[in-house]
Amino acid sequence: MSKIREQLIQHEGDLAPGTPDTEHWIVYTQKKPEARFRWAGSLNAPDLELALQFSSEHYGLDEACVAILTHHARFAHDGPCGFEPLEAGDSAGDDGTSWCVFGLPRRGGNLELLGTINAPDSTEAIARGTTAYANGRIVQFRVVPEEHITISDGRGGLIWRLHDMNYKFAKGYSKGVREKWTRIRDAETYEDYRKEDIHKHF
Amino acid sequence: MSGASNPSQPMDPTGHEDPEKLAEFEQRIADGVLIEAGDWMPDAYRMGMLGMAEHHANSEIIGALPEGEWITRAPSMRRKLALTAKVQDEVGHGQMLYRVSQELGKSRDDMLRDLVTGKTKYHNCFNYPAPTWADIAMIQWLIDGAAIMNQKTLADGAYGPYVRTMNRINMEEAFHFKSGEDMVLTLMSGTPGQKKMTQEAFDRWWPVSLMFFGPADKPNAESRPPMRWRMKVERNDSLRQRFVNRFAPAAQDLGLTVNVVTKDDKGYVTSATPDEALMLDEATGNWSFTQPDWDEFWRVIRGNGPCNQHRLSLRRFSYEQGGWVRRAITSGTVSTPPAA
Amino acid sequence: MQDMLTNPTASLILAHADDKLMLGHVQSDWTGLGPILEEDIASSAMAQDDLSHALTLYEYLGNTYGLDPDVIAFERDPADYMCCDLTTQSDEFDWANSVVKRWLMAAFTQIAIERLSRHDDADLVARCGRILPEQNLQVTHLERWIKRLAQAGPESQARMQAALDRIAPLAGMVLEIPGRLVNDDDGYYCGREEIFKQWTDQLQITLQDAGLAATFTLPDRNVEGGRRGKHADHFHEQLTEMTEVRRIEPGAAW
Repeated sequence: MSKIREQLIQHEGDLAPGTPDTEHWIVYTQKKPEARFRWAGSLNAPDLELALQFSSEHYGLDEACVAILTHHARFAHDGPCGFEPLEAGDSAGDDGTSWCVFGLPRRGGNLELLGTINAPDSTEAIARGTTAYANGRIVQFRVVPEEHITISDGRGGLIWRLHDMNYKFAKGYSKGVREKWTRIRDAETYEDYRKEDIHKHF
Repeated sequence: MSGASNPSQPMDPTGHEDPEKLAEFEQRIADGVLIEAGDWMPDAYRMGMLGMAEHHANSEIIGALPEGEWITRAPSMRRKLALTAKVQDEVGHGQMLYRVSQELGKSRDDMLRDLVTGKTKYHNCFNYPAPTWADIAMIQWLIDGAAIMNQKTLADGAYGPYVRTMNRINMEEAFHFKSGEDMVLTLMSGTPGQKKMTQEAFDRWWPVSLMFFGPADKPNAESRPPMRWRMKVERNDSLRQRFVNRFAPAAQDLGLTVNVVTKDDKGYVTSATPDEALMLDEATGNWSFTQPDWDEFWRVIRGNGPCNQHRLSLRRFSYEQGGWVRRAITSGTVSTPPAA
Repeated sequence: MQDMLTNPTASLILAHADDKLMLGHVQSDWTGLGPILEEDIASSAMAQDDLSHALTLYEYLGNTYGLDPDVIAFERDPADYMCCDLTTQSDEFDWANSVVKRWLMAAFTQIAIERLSRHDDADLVARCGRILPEQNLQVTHLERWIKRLAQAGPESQARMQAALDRIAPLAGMVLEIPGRLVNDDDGYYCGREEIFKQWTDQLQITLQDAGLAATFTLPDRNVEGGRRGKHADHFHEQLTEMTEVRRIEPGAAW
């Protein structure tokens, strides 16, 4: 192993004072053009510039995506989370500023960007969002002022890489694993084993 | 990699909670409803979930260390890339799980400090050595295989933010497992020397994998908080059985022998004899097997394992070495967005 | 192998590939040990980019000379590795050293690969075309970190300046003529001065913005170092470590 992992420099005494957590950012990715942005995760970064770098270098490379949406957690306004899908309300109007409306399709699920709506404040934005998008399929709404949303779509710099990244995905190994197993087991046994792997064992 | 089986989780379903709210909460969980961050929850549940997510996050970033040792020695460009990406995934999982924990009320820095000063724990399996390349294959095949089984059940838990993170993590674990399977298959299709190295690594990791799921649960586990509140949904023994059912026959097909081993205090095998208990019960479909050395498990978890000290020292070194960078980015010139 | 090692173009490609290999080798070792989890992940992604760039160039040479890219990467005589002295200098596991070194290299490689992409071989041009956007990403990322850390207070500024003072003297060796077996009587390697100026002008703009200072010099054409196989001890340790597993069973599949 590399030297540093073996011959550690031991710092003396107590730990130096800690540092506060940096800001909290929430990240959504879009897998294909026209697909909905879906929640991918969150991270800490001191400012937008680093938040955007961190979100594309982590969530932008976990699975193929074409664009990344990032906002500061502070700008998220969440409505109550229902136990049943929410019914459309009757709030409507077109005054106010633009809000991005995200919906949670089920508890434990991932927020998705449904569209935008104009509203004078977050409460009304949630109410109007519910009218526009509830449709009996959403348990919770989140609204974020559109001005606080940043979308990186690769035009300002690459997100998904151009080099072959098969080494970091299961599909990059499937063929080799199949070939090697079928030298040990027959193809049919391997096929059963593989299916069983997914459905029963894992 | 990793899982969240924390064998000594203190949980006190206290009497100070509003009994009506508590009853409603427990009924929801019994009905299979998921809890979201804004819902009412008992303090003990919040603390329990925090402890579980923090332990899991700690395990991810400590879990990055044994495999990290081999990035510089990976034997081909593709393996080097894959191992780097795999260890990077663990760091990514750690980051996501720390975020889940941060939202439950503890700062990232406090968690990292508690980890390096030994106040909090991480998964026991990372206190074992990985002395050869074949150990990397075994970690990815057996330990990641075990982790997928465990985490699939954790994704059936009741806490929404943890469940959604687990689903995302599990997507990446498939790569880790397949890459491990590919390495094991390659080594076992290789030279006699490679096969020997692989059997020796298998001997080191088989018992650790059996311990991975933690010791047997108490007889009334289902009525105690972790299971009653669906923080975990399957008994450790049941997961262990599924693991053996899946991996024992696969190992045999590959030409590996499932041995019962003794180890020295450095984690190296001192004797290995075939597990006589290992056989398939046709009626149940279950494989019987010899239990790992649970005394060793408790010894290691109390801090006296082969690598406990080295793992923590390296983690602490990394934490202290990077302190100035964290101070730099939190020290002033950066701007934070105004309140909404 | 010999055909490749005596060919001027192949040597130039090898020089860049070996730089990338060694940069990726060192930076990937940081995975899990970085100062901030989020940046740990990001710099590991860029280490993977570097290793992938090395691989694509080894593949190109492998196709041209009928060699296995892994054999090119792992099984040459140490003197036939053409990575420059800047790349193989140890970062002592100090993040400031790491950032400064990677930034100097990334900015140079961006210019060098752009020039290589004007070659008349379509396959090589295509490979360079895939490297360049990823290279740009790296330059941007590192430039921002240089400025950020240099401007984040006296402790951080001092560390960055110290790293620069330590590393800058070796930087010009990126333009050493590569390949100890290449006959350069025809002056094959042209444009050193021009590249050096383009590169250091770019560096100076960032340094000025960051409030850091460094002087770079272009070594004489005859000064020999890593690109012509005269490596410091540290490189030999790195190579021994990198090939440890492969040497156990020569020729085996892993």
